[in-house]
Amino acid sequence: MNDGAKLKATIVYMREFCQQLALLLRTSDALMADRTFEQAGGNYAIIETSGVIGQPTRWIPNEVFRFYWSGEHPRVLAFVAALLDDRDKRYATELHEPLLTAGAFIYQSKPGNNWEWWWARWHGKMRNRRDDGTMVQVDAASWPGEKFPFERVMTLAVPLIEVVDSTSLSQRLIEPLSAAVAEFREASGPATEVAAPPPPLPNG
Amino acid sequence: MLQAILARKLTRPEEEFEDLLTSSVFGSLQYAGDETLVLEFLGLASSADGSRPLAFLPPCVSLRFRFWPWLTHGDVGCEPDVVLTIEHADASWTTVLIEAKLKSGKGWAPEGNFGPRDQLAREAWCLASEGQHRRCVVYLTADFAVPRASLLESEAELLSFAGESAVPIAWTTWRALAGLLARRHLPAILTDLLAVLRKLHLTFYEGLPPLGDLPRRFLFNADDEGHTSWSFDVPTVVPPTFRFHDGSRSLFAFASPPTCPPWRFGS
Repeated sequence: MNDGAKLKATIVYMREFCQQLALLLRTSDALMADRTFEQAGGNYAIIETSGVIGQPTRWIPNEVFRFYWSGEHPRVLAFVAALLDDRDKRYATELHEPLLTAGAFIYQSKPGNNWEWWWARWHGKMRNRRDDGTMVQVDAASWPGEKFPFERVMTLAVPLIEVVDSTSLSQRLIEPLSAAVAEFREASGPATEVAAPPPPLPNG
Repeated sequence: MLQAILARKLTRPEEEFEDLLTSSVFGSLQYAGDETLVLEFLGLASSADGSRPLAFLPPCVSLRFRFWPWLTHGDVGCEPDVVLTIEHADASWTTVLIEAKLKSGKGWAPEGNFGPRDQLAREAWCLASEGQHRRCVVYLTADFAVPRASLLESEAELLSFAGESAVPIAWTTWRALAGLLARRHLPAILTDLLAVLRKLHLTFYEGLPPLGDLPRRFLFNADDEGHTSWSFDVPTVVPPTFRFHDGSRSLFAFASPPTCPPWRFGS
């Protein structure tokens, strides 16, 4: 195969890669729905991409994600995200390979629309990050100088290539996440009040 | 039909493709003759309240498929996609009506028609005329999770016509069938059916595509010190066998044992 054919194969691969990422996230939606969580961000799965000539590094997504909330866990904003790259070198530790991450932000009361899309990258922001499936929890105060509306955040991650089907997605990400957020199951209002519009999408 | 889909020979609008898919899937299941698979698939169908009305059915002794039959209940008629009639080992019967969708939602009968207007409620109403044995309407879609609002809407309309004797309405997805097929040793027709479902992306997540087209061979050219040209193939199976070639001639192969000892290139 010559270099031109390899380049073409790479583009075709990227399309199929995106197709499978979409299946992964929609399977995640279904697994979370089994645990009473519904999508908090509608159909959005990507932010901060660009179609303009001056921002070519943003032509390809940096991460893909889904956010969730549940009337049975009114203090929780959960997410599942695949971190594909650290385009802007913002992570606390270098990203050596794509990771599939999941996590939850624990609020004092309902999150409403008091959250940001870029929080899908939170696992990369964790200084004590583990990429082996271990759930790590920290207080929001762990980032002095930054102010966040939640009290605690927890994340876990595994290498994306190790999640080979819906069973491993469930066992390695969704079940540990579900077990961790169960600790914070405290009723603070009826389920129907949880739904709120997501925050506005960032420009880009 | 399966081969035509796999070879991309069909260029039809979605509405027609829905029928072709239904025909391909249930036709394949019919000719494969695997009643256990069909019952397992139906058993996954879930009602809006999370119950599974077709789970734990008695063993099947015969299974009959009817495609696009016309059913009536009084002045009300409907044409579901498939009706399955199952005879069980304990002499009981189950009739399952399947309404299959791909990208469209459920339909509505025009105003002024007799009976329920909601398609699923109408079909459940007509299915009630098929006898007093076990019955269920299965709404088969490409969704990933139960379309609860849609099912509740149908149940509410059916309830207003049939009361407590209403036939249950449940949902399942094409993707669940792909999951069942992927876990079995399949005859050729069901292997092709699974390939069709994968081609149409009617699966749950099954892993990332293999990086099959990335470079697998490294070439080393001759130098001035008498070393010959040779190539090195990256192994693609586990445990790997490392093969070294000189042009078209195989120089030697190194099969790694389960625990690979330290090794190096010698002079």
